[in-house]
Amino acid sequence: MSNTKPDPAPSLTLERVRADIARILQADEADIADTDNLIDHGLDSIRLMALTQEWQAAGAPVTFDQLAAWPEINYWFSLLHGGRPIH
Amino acid sequence: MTTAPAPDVREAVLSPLTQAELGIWYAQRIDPANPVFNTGQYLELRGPLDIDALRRAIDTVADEADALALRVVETGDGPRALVDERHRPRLQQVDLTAAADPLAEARARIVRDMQTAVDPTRDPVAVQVLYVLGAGHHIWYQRIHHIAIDGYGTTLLTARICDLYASFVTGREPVTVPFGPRNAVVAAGQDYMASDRFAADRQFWLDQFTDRPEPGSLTPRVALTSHHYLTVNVELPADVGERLVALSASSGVVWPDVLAALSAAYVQRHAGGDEAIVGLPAMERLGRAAARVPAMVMNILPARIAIDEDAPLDEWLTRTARHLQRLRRHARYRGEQLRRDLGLIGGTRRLHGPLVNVLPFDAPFELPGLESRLEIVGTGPVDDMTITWRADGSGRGLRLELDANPELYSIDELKAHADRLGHFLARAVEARRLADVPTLTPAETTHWVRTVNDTAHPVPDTTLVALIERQMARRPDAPALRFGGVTWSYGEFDRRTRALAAALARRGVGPETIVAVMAPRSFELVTALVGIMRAGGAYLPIDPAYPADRVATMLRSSKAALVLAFAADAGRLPDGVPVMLLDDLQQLEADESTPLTPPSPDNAAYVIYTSGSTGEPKGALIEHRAIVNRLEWMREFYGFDESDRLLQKTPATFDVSVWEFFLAFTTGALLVVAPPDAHRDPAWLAAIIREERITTVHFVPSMLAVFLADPASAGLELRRVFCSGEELTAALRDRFHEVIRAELHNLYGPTEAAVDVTWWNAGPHDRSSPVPIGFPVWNTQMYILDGRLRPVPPGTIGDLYIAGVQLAREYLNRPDLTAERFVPDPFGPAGARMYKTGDLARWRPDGAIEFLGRSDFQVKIRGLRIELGEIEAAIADTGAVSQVVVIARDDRPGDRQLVAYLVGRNGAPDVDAIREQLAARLPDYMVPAAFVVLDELPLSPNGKLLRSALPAPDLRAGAPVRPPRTATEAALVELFADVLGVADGPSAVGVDDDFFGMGGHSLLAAQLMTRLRERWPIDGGLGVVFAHPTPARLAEYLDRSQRGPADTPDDVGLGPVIQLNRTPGDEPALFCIHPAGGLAWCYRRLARALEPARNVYGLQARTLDPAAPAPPSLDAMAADYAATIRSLQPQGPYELAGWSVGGILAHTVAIHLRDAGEEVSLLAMIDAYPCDRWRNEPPPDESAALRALVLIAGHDPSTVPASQLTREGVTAFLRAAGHPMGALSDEALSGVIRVVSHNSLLVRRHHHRVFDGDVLFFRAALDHQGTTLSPDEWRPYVRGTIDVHDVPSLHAHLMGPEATAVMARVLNGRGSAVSRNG
Repeated sequence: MSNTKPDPAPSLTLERVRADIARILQADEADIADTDNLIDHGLDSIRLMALTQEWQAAGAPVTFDQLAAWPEINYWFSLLHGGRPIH
Repeated sequence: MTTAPAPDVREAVLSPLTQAELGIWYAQRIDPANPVFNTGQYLELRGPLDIDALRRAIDTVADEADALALRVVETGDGPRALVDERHRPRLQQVDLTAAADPLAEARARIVRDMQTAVDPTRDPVAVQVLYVLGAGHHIWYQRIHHIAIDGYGTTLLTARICDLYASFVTGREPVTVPFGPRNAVVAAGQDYMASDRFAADRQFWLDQFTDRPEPGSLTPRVALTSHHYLTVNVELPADVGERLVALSASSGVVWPDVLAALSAAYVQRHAGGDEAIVGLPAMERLGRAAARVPAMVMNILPARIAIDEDAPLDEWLTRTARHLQRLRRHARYRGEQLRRDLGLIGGTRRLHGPLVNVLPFDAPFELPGLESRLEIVGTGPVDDMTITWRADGSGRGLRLELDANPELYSIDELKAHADRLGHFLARAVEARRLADVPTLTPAETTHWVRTVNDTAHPVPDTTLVALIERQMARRPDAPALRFGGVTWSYGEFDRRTRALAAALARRGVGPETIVAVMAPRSFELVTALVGIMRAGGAYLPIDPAYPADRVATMLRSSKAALVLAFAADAGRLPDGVPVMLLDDLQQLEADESTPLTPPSPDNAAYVIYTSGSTGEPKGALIEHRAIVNRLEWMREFYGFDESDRLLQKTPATFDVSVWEFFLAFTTGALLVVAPPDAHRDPAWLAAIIREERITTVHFVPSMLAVFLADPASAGLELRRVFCSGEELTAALRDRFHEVIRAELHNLYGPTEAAVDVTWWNAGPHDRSSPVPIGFPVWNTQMYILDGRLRPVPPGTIGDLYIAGVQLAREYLNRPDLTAERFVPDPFGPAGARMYKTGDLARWRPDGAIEFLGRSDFQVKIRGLRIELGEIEAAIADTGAVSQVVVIARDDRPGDRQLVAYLVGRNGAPDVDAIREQLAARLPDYMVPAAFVVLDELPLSPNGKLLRSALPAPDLRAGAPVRPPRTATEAALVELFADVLGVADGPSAVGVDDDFFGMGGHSLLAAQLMTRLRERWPIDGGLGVVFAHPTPARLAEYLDRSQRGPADTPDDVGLGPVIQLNRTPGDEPALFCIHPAGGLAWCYRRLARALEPARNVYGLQARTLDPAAPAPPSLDAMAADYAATIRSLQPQGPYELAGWSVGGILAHTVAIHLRDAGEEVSLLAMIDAYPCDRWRNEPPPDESAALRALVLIAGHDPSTVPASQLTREGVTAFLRAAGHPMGALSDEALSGVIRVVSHNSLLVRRHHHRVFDGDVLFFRAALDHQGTTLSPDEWRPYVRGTIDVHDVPSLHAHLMGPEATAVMARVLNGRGSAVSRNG
């Protein structure tokens, strides 16, 4: 994230992202590591779509496909703040 | 930018199939001809389409998506995947502008294509077609086998193609990125299988299913996947979607989960129990590798959802959502794997009921400058029902789509489900708790509560006494009653009953007085019953054979004022009971002076004690109004009149006797009373029916079965026979109509509702199975309700309730029991009651009721409610038994088992055959563990089945292992043990042990199949093991198919491929193509004469099967054969041979193989000549076909007299000549004749192309005298050499031993030359 562009979604702090994910997966935040594959916490397309919509509303330039490609908090957090998507 | 993936994933190397792909593969393999595995959709495009841009987009995607070029290769280690570059789906353009209706033509072609089964070992799994309908009007159709794609994959694919199209047309950058390689999915799957996660997930699911629940569904039936499915679509009102979203907000449960939970609740309303097990598709697509790979990845999670109707809805939804979330954490574990773990493989064993699929991203595909409309034409197999909810991301535009297996649901049932589920949802999203939500729509409730019970009918408000007295007064001289050859007129009957009534009145008997009668059938008994009622009292029948303490109990609890009994029986009455002796009845003086107090309609008429299955007997008290309704209905409904002669044979203690005793007297007809012991003696009964010219008689079904089994009943003619008291089976009904000429009526009713409350005409044309109990009688309502007294939908099992005029007043002196069983009628006027019968029933769509047994005979095995009546009906339907009863026994503690008791119809029934038929029809948990054959079923004095007297089955601890009896069975037992890895070796495997029951699964079945093929010629696919899962059954199948046509006169050996010789060696196979008759058996001798030994296959005409469509041309046949040959041997060089027409076909097949780039190393044509010379000859008639048949059979047709050139004559000729074709069934022989005729036609129409190789030609040197037939005629059609060998034989004898020896020498010499040179 060594870009000079302004952060598109400053409200999406790491704490909020973790909390959003735990809420939607009905899990304890403490149980989800930032490098876990969220599939193993029961992430599915329906919940991912809900997250995508929430975060888009907060200004994050992410798509469902981008998030789906690598469901992991660290990666998502970078994407939400303008990081380059991987393919 | 569209980058092509790295070259390494492009290589045509074999890779494993993923678990998901394997699941589809095995499902397709069970039924290779099933086209339901085709998924397809089309976009109808209006506007200026840039076809080149679409082609580029599709080609690009075809290159990216390896799964679309997937080809399955069967290897010794099981199926493997090959990415076949030739199968990448390029856009095919089809111009339909010239068609009369281009759109209809395109749709018709799409339907045809969707209905054509795809063989993933042979055919491309994906096609892309553009139909040009006119200027600016196109249909873009894509069809992909489910092994290569799932729903989400289709969306990915279509979206990418649309995106690329847009980028090509507008010049913008594509939004989507190229697909990932399929290999990434394969690798991810393998990593997962090797991970700790896999083991943990496995344990999670096993824990979920430790108690092995049986999933219920919306229908009690089970079936295999059909070849198509039914679809119904409805749009829900906008306010339902709004409430759904509101409920989602208030409960904090995302709306897709709300829909899944409520769908499960809907399923449970039909399936019963307190949970539903639904399948939830899990896309399985998220994640590092699979996210952007179009492939078959989807998984189905079996979700057990507890239904709590009383909890606040929000709370239940939250709980359920949490549970679903827990399941999703283990969503990578495959459903197929879990089925294997649980042994739920094969047949109709299920892991879950309907699928519930929520698709919240229903977004249209868009192409710039074009209007597009998406039509989905297939999404893969539907085993039961798929409930699909579609909406946009925010829950708007909610639509419900139901797809269903047509073997299980009719289109009307499906539409009804769509309405009902839509209504259920609409009510649920605004309910406080599920308990408040009705199952039925208001219209359905009206129908199943009101319409089916619209039975109002005027009946005089009178008493049984008044009705009888009217007949006595009307025709005093008419005969009323006959017993022992003596007849009483109505006048005499009047006097005697009046005299008794007066005597009773003198002793204080009047309305509401209960008088017991304990007497065998006699004048006195009938006089007593009528006399008591004329005195105003109610009679209470007591069987003289009852044990004394039971008699005492009944008298005490009924508080009977008096007992009428013969002196002979009176001694068995308790002390102090007032008795009036019936022996003195004849001496009673007429007494006109004592005033009688006649009963009123609401006074008691009789009290009959029912034993009930539990607890002490209880007396149902019936009022006059109730029994008058019953008798008047019967009299008018069945047209009884004065000419009728009714037989009274039922003991008075059984309520059927009530109409037997009194219907004659309310009609003015004659009652014939059978001697006391006659009712259990079939021959005696038959004699009475004949001699007394009886018109109407009643049987309990068990007794009817005994009666029909006695030769004395044969040929009886009556007006009507009534059955009630037990279930009348369809088999017994059919047997009845074979033996007796009479109407047959099935009645149903408990003692608590004046004998009978429903009727069904079980006449000779009735084909119902089970036989319904039918429709309600006059002024009667029948309800089928769930545990919360809500009406259930048709087809769903519920508790049967009765309301209306016939209900008993009470259980005499038992207000507690009365209150328990006679409850307020929620559908009737204030104060109305209904009676809970304790019987289970369901509605047929036509409003007839099917009885399913007592709810207290209902048993649970593995937690599942089992209706024994349903199993009994299934056994009865085999036609092998005359009587059957199934019970659940607990002979060994904790080991409840179903046991079937059978009485054979013609001698001892074949239990194995019955078990096999049941296994085909019922879920396995409903197939009884033991079958006990009895000479007769034990009956109670009333003629009802005595369940307690049924013997325990001989079930030794540890199921006995039945040892093999034949060499084949012995070999199979070893194979089973080996493939299954049975620790104790073959001795632990019995010939009746089920492969799948011992832990076998599809993978192991495939291994078994491979091992079987090493030893036996098997034409079928994996389905053979599924159809014959035990060593005994498999041995029978193998032995039958191995004997082959030469010595078994059946149709085995008529399949499209027969193996004529078998060897483990790896010489290229020889493929012999059938001559004109379509059969390839003739090559058997040649096949075995080849050295070194090699595999030889015979290809036979598909049209030998009368159901098979006739191929349009010889070329189409040859193309089909070329495909079959490639499926048997995937790569060349190929060796072909054919005699006569078979030679023409072989030549054409060779050209098709060459077209496909394959090498053809041998084309042997045996006395075959080009079609050209027959082209102008008239088409053959049937006698020509028959002559050809004789010729094919190796005989000179001229030796068969013209008069014998008929099917019968030729069959006789072939049989006399000992030719195996003579042993064919008539149907098979018709098939052969059809093939001969059809082939003659096709030969005339065929035009040869050029084969670019060499031909080996065998000429029948002794034949063709005086003709110009010459191998040189092939010159224009063969580019290589034609090597002609003369065989000293007639054409017709070329397959005989001498000619075969000559040809084999040539072929063998050549074969070794090839080996040497090759």
